[in-house]
Amino acid sequence: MCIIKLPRQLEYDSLLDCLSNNSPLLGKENVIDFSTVNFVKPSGIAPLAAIINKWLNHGFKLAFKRSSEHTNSFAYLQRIDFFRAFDVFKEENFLRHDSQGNFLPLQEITYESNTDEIAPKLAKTLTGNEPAFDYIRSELQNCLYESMNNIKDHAQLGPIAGYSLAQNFSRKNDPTYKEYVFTTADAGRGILNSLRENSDLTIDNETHALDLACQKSVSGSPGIINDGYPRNMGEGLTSIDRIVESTNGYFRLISGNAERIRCGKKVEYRASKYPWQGTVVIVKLHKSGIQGYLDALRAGRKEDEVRF
Amino acid sequence: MTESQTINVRETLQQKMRVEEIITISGTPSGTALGILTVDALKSSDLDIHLDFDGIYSMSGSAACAFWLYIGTNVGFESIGKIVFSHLEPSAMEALKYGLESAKERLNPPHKAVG
Repeated sequence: MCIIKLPRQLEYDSLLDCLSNNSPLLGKENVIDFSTVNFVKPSGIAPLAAIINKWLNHGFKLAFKRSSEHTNSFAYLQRIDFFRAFDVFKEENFLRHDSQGNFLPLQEITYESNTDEIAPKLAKTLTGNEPAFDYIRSELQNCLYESMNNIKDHAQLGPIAGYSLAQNFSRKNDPTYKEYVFTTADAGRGILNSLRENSDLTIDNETHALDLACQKSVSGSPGIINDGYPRNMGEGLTSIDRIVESTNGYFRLISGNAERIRCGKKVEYRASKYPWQGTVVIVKLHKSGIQGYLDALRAGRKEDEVRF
Repeated sequence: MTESQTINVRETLQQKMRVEEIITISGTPSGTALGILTVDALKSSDLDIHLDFDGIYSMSGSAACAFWLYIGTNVGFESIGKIVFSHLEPSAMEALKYGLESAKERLNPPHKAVG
């Protein structure tokens, strides 16, 4: 038996630390142990779901273990439908409260998924309680939409699924603070393979692939048509990168052995401590940063009518 | 003041995309749909085309790129001076600026490709 004991704080880096030391074994029973998890973040949840889905598709036998005591983190994982995605721990000892626009349960993205519906729902969750954020909703929605469509395209090639989750966080001691987080993760072919298979670009390595993916006019699937219109322009990552830069947010793109991290105006590339076969997108925006961006744009506005 | 033909973007896209309410222009399909409307108007008249964005809160870079790409492909970028935008939210204006650069690169790519 192999026991994969998940970290107390479940987020992307701690998850990868854990998985690097624990791999499931084919033909044996493997236990995913949630018993000591006491805090979870979207950046850990979507990748964990993607990797579990991949293991199941590869024929690994998996069992899930929970703590004998009730914990808030376990209830949270139930409420966001993490366990429902794998048909376990469906009995809940709490009343399902309304999400009140603060989160949207974990969304599974497969080849059949209707991303036209899922992306707006997630984007609305991220901006729902803050009318001012309608001004950047289109970029959030499009980034989610294009990320999900990439997952769908990869899912066409094999039985993989991706997952997406959006959550707003507040601070009790600071009512003005609000953080908006979304994570999309899949265990597909990754950005380097995707660009190499679909373009004539010469791509040196995974770091170069991430750089290209965040440049304008590189990617896109204009040949894929939805209702008579081209589906993806391929500017989703580039646009969200621009918004994150302008709003002093955080955008981490992980694929294969490389990571690209934008923190405000600063961009850093680094080798991943542990490789991720597939793609992970983590975006964090802050209310103050978004408001500052909108205020600055409005302050510079002069004309009522514009020609380009 | 120059005479122009006005398109109410929100109402026209609602009808074209068959949705109840459009307050953001997010995806490539809606950007392309707006491009089609504009090109049809440009081809049918010598007047300036006035795109009224009243009620539209935001536009994504992809939608803006798709919009300009359709115009650049079908009537050429030299026609964009005939398009007047009003009630344009600043963030949508940013997206349109950025989308125009991207569309021009896509029609004359120095080193890039579809991926």
